[in-house]
Amino acid sequence: MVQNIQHILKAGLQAIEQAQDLVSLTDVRNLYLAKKSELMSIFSLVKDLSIEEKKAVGNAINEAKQQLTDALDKKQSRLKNLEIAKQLEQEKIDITLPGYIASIGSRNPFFIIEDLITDTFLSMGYLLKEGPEIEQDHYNFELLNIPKDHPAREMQDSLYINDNLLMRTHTSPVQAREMEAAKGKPIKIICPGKVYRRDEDDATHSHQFGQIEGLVVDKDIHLGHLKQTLLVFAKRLFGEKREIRLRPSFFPFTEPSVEIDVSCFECGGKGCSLCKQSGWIEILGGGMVHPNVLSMNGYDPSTYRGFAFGIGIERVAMLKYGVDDIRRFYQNDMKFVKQFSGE
Amino acid sequence: MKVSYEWLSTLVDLHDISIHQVADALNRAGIEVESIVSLSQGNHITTGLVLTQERLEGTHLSKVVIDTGKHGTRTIICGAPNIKANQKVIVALPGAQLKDITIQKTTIKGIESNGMVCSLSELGIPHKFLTTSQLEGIEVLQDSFPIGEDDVLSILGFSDQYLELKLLANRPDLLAMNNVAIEVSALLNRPLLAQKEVPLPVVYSKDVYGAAIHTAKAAHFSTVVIKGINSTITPTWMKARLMASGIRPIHFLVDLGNYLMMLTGQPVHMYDLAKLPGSSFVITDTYEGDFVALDGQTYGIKRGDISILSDGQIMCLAGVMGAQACAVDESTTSVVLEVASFDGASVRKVANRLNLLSDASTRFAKGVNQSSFEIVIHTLIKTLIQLTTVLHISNIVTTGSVKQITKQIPLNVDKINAILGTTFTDTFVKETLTRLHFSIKNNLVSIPLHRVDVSADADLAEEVIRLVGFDSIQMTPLSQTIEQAGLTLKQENLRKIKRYFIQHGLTETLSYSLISKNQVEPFSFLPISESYVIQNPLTEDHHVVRSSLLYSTLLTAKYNFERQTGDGQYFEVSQVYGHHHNRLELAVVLTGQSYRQGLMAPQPVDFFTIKGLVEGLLKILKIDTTRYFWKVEPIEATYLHPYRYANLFIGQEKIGVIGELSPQGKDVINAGKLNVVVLQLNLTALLDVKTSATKMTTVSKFPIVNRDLACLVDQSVTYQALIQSVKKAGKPFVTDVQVFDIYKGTNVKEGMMSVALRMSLNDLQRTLTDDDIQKAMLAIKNQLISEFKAEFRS
Repeated sequence: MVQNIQHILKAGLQAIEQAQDLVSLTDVRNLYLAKKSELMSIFSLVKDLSIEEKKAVGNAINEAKQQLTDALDKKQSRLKNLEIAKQLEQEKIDITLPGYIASIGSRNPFFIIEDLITDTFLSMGYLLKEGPEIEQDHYNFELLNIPKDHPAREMQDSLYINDNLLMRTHTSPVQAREMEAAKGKPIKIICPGKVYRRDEDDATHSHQFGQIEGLVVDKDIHLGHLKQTLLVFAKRLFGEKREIRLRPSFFPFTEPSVEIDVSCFECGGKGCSLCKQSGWIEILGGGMVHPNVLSMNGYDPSTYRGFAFGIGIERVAMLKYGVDDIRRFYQNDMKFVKQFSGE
Repeated sequence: MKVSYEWLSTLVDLHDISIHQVADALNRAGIEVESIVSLSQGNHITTGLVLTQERLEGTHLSKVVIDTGKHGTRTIICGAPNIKANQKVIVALPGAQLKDITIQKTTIKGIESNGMVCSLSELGIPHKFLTTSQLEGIEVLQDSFPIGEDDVLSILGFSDQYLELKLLANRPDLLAMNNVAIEVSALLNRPLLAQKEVPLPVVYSKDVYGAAIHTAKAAHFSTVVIKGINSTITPTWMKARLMASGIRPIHFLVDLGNYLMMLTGQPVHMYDLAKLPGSSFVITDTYEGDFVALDGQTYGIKRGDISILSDGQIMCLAGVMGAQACAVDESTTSVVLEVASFDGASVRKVANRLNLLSDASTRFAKGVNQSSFEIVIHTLIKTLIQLTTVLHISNIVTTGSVKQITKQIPLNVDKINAILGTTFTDTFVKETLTRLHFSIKNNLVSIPLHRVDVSADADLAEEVIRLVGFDSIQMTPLSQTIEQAGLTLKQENLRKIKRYFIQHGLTETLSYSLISKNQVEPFSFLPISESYVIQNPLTEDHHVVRSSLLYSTLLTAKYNFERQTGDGQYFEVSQVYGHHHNRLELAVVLTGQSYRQGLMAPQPVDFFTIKGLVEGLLKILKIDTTRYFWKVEPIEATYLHPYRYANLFIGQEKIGVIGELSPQGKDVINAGKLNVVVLQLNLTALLDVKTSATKMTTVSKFPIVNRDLACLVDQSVTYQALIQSVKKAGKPFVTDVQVFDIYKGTNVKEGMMSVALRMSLNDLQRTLTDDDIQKAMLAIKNQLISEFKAEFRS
């Protein structure tokens, strides 16, 4: 009987080996392992045997069943993989065909740079403050140490609504408003916004442009703080290797006043057409808040000092992205704007 | 300001310092040198005598033979109309580099030409310094000029270079060579050079020309009468210095006046005494009438302009230009010399109005050092008597007063260091300031009178660091100084709104806030007030402050239509202003087709595109659907499709409008057949809306059962009403209702529509039984029948 079992096992294994597909494999499984199969029917004969023979035959059947099951499972998984592989082969595609269009929005680079600069200062612990674009003479000029009859107040430079109201010519009035509101407390603000001048629009001039003003007021503020702050800014915007250089300048609301140059990010300072061979690019203006401005806005200049700086948004965008004409920012040609997707 | 290097070298010891080193020092100290310019450009040139000249037949050319001394006798073909034998001329030898050309040996008409006879224009002399005949022909030198003289440009006064300075508004003092010299001497730490001193002549005339000041706009007015001037020609050195200063030499007296102005910064004016109608001046600002200036033009003088009258006639528009009637010329022998100070703002306004900006008016406008008037007059007289002879010089007559207070600032080195973040010693600060001619005694710093820009500690700090250089400032990190930082919730939400649109494929645009007078108003669907108008616009295109934003964004779409971009998704955020409103607006414009999630093919944008976009926005702002509603409320705007728009209300306030543009609306931006949908939203109001707090609701662990239901209802029944009704009737098990099909037409009764609804039912406590579901569905059916007379298919 045991011999017979082994004979069945051998035939079964051979049949499994020969099965070419899953259907014939199922047939093999039924033929050898179904209840009524030759192997299983041997069980019904066992009851007539001696205990020892029962044991031997039972073991042989179980052993054969196990071997057949293992072989079947193994073969089945192999055939299944082959079948999947065949099907997947039929699903082969040309991966060079274009992807489905995902709608991609973008931003006018003006806003990209505005947020980039603003965020740099927010990360340094500044507050974001904004002010009105239609501004009073008092805030736009008077409180910033630009008295009546100062050349900067000439009608031809500013767009007036009436004697007292004008389109703000800089974001500096936000400084004055914030100092007034802070009532002598420390200030650390960044103020982006649109400003207006009575300028003819051309490739480098615009009657409207963006400016970002920063102001810090506290005790013990000095020029070294401004220098460090602007270095962090320059590196963030133009790369870790940048250096800055301060040159004396003049603004009515700061003293000392400085122009800040950043080492050229195109040539690294060796000299190229972007930096006009100087290795440096003028990027912003700033200085220590003028004592008159501090006292006019409620701070005692003998204990409080501050620094302020101003940056032109389009100027930075033009430098960083190589934009050749400031008017492009206001035309919104999608062929231009879409170039900045993901920035 | 143009600074002659030759002139500067006579004022400061620059013997071993190049013009480039001077420029570097000035640049570092905040005095920007825009360029370094040579008055002439030409090397390898010499002088020669024209021996013979013969015209080449049939041409305008001459063949000349020129003796150039050590450079030999050479034949040259010359095209100048004025060349003749026996002239002394300037010759460029082969190899010479002139302004625009390089000279080479060449053959013309078969004759070898060995050089070129030059005009001053060819040598790069600016045309403003040349007469018409000098421009048209070669330069003819004086007979006494040596031949073979290679240094000809230098002898003629054309070899100088000048620095073109771009002065900052706080340094008008640098409009004087004397003050530039002090600055350069301080920056380079080089001594000033002593100037040749001549004694003032003894005054021997009491024949003065007085003045009466009748306006507050003239602080002081000084005159001197000089008689019997032996007319002479301006020396070459003075002409050269004037030209290097950008001033055209005219004739002796005018040149002398200009020279003094350049040296001292104080404009001086001369009247021809013989031509003055009266015996004294009146300075007034009430004169009105025509004025013939010395340029021969007639200008209208208005009340408020400062005029200088003699016998009631206008002799000078103060600080701007003198009258032709009393102008000095070559034949003038007696003059009244004026040194005065006029109100800068007035002079600037008049000069701008009449477009008469000059070196003098610029100096008055920027402020001249009033205190130096006596020095100016004395220097002028001394210069005059070194150059020619005069018969009489009067006393100086001065009307008005001159502020001559030397400012004194206590020296506080600690304060200076505190401003700069430096550790300079007392001695170092004192030495540095002294270089700039600031004198320090008993710890008091006396500021030189010309330094009007210095009046406080901060100014002294700037002077020190300007000279020392900013590299000496140590960078110091700022310690935290304020209690809170970063964005406010509203600022954060505004950014969230912008990000939302960008993520949905829209592009953020930027447009001008100032618009043409006849734009925009019809395109605001939210209330607006009267616009602000610019009083002094530069162009009509930017005349009014926009009171709403949508039209600007529509123009962006139009701009792109015209450039073959029909499908556009634009949004813009901007503050808008009117006399009675001031808000942050959001405008969205969608044009053409858009790709929608789940659909491969693009679909034309429509009302629901924009509605979905707004609803999504409100969702991310956590404004619950129960807090806002859409309302069709008659709107006076032909630009919107009358049946495809809606107002967005939050509470009682209308904060936005969405809709498709009507054909009339589309015409305005030439949209043609493209669909255009818009949103105008009051962001100020939206950002003020309190957001709903996010709280978790328990999610049932029991299965959700979906049931579909189709019914016929009247076409006037709205989706919103159906959903509300089903939700109410299906309580407590119906958790969600969706309409998944609406059908009108064949097989549906006229005026009716077939609506397919899908209900989701669920309970937190248990699995719903068939009985629960049937009861809920029955309640829903009954409600729909009673509320909408709904019919159900059997």
